[in-house]
Amino acid sequence: MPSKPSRDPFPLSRDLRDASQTLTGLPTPGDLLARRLELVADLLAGAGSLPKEPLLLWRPAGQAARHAVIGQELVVGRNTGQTGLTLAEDAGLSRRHFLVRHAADSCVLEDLQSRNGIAINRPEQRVQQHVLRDGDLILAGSHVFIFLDHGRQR
Amino acid sequence: MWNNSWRRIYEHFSHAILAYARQRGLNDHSAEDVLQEVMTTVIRSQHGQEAAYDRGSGSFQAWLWGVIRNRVRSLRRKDQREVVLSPIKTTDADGETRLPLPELPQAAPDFAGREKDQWQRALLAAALRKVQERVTGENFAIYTALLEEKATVEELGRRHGKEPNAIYAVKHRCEKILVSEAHAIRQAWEGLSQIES
Repeated sequence: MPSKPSRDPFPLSRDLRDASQTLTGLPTPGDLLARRLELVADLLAGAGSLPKEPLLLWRPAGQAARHAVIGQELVVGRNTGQTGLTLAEDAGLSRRHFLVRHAADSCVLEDLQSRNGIAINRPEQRVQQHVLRDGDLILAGSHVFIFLDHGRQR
Repeated sequence: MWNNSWRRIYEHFSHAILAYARQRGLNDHSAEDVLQEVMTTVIRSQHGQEAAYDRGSGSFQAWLWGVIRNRVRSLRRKDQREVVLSPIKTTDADGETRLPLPELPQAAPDFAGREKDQWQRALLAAALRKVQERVTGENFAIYTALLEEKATVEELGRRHGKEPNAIYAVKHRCEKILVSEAHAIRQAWEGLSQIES
């Protein structure tokens, strides 16, 4: 549909001033976020129905997407015992690599003194502890986990 | 269809969402968190994982506006919880320390109206960002200096080594792009209201 800009009233100068000042220093949503969102879309497309609780979603090489509900807390590593999420085939993970736990109304990610560490959203953003946001990527070992918090109404 | 393409939502409104979050007082980091959370929610809705949208009774626009507003409110609440407020103490003639009485609330402010107004301004900021992408850095700097009344045409001409007519030409070109982009983005936003959830 062709646009007809001439029919629009020109914005008021005070609104333009406000818009211009808002732009000052405003970050540009970069390609990185778009690529992260592509990954989220790709995994969700093959994830089937997911529970509403906070969870981690990932795709093992050559397999369908999998998820793990966090519950009160979830330990992830190469050998976490019976309660955690064990990914024995990933040599880049420590035995107990990281933990996600509920704290107040958020979920907090903690590095359990792993050998190779963890990063959020991009490899250079290494963290020891991090309050997770819906859609955050957790990079650990050779895995990329997506943190999802479906049911959050806060 | 709009609701089948999160990429189009991102392309049209990512700048506006960031600008709105900033206008509501969030810092850059929190504004980016808002954008990520809004887009993750949109993607979930497109894969049938977002019950709030499936059950919604209004348009897709109303649903998306609700998501944006709620994410911003949520992060504002979290930021405010981190600020420790200490009451202002006063000392009277007897040397006793008194706390001021709380003031009675005035007429209820129109928060929803203010939020919508800020969103409209955020859409305008997004259109201005498109202008920035389509002209040179120097020309955009000239245009914003004029918008913010930081300099006259003559001063800008001297500063940039241009005749006043050239400055007017920059202003005219930027305004033309701005009107076109503001129209396009407003049309895109209004177009969302045609999609029934």
